[in-house]
Amino acid sequence: MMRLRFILKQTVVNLWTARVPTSGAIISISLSLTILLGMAELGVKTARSFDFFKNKFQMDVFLDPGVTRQRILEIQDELASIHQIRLIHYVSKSDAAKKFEREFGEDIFEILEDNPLPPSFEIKFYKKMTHPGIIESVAKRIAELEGVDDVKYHREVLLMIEQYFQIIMLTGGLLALLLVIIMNTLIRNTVKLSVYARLNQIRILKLQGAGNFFIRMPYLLEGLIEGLAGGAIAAGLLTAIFRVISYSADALFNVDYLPSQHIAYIALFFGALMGMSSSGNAVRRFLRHVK
Amino acid sequence: MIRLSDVSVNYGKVEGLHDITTEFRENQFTLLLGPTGSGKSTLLRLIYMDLLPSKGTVYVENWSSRNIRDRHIQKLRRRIGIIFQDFRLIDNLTVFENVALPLIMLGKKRSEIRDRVHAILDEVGLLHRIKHPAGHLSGGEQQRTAIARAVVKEPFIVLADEPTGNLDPDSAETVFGLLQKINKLGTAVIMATHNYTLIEGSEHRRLHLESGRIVSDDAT
Repeated sequence: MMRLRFILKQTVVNLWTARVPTSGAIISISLSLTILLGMAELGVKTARSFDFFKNKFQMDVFLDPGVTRQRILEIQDELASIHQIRLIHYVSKSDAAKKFEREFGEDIFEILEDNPLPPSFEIKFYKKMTHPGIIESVAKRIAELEGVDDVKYHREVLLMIEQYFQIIMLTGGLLALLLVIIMNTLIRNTVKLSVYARLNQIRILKLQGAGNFFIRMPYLLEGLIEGLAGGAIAAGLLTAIFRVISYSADALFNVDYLPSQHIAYIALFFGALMGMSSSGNAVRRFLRHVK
Repeated sequence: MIRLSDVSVNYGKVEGLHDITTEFRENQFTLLLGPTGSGKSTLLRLIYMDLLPSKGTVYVENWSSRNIRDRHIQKLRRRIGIIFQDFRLIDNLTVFENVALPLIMLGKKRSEIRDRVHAILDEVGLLHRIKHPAGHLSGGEQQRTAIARAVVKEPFIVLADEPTGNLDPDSAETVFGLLQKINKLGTAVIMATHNYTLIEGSEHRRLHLESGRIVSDDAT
């Protein structure tokens, strides 16, 4: 009981007496968490934005003008059997004419005597199946079906989306990795400074016969408190930042830019982990060299 | 109780101690004498195993420097009281907490800790300073606190490394007096000093070191 009291008191006293290094550690942790979790959150939002485009992606399968009703039903069945396809919508000649009028504002029968627009199928894919390679092979397969005249889709747009997605994710990932390394070094060194400022105290405890656990505990608790404080600040900053983004990009790509509900818990968890591990490592390294 | 057998200590190419063979018995008060750099502190560090010999063996109670491990060193230090010239108190802890520290490590109960700390602080004349942070005390008071911390755990020996080195003559007298009192109550004391005026007339064992060698020992 007295040990626990001593450890708790030491923790509080140390936090107070080492205010400057403690503040430094809290700031480092909060900044690194804000940047890292912010990037992770942005990554998720970006992926959702791309999903929005992928969900919109459509392939048009134009049928021969003289294809029979029976054959149309058979083609529909054959399309339904392709597992990459999520949605099939049949567009008859008259539907196509209506669509033409909707899109161009003119009645096709007023321009031409006959309706030249062929019947077609509008196809949508599962978002995981929108990779250009997959789409190309599906398009090829559909084009070979009897009664299919042509298959059209925006290949270039699809390629561009995929390319941008990969570049953004790869650059973001590498940047995040680099930041993790920099931030980890920064936090470790800040905490190490705060531990080294009290080397004399550790040495005194050792000379009195204190065990490593007894010496390490106040530092671990300090790390925990610093980490939780850093995590709380990061959670606050992230919420504020994403509220601003959400406000200015509300209608963009139908993506909700508000931070996810768990961001506070994640920030607190990783903050505590960062604080405790940095603190624990710094003391452990020193204890190894002190008899 | 404590035996050094053919002990040498090297700091790189510099020899700290050379072939020291001696022993320290129970209840004995030993004055470790010699100029600065003669090896007094090195000898004390060997006893509390802050340093292991380059050659030879140090025996302290049932422990031997040959096979001692870190956790044994912790246990050994809980049985030894150590006092330094620079006090080595934790400044942001109160006098009570500094003195209670060894008892906390020994897992003593709160009531026992309170009683023993009060008793020992009364003994060294610091009861009125019990709630003060150690960093706010005078040099003499800090050293008396360090003595209280060393003695409160009832060690079998107190090692004092130049305990009066930083003190004015009056405080030095008080500290030396306290150490003699502790010894009279049954605890062995080894005190390293080069304050010859202070120890003048005392009848304790004198072990004289020079350049890492024992040059005289009136126990032999």
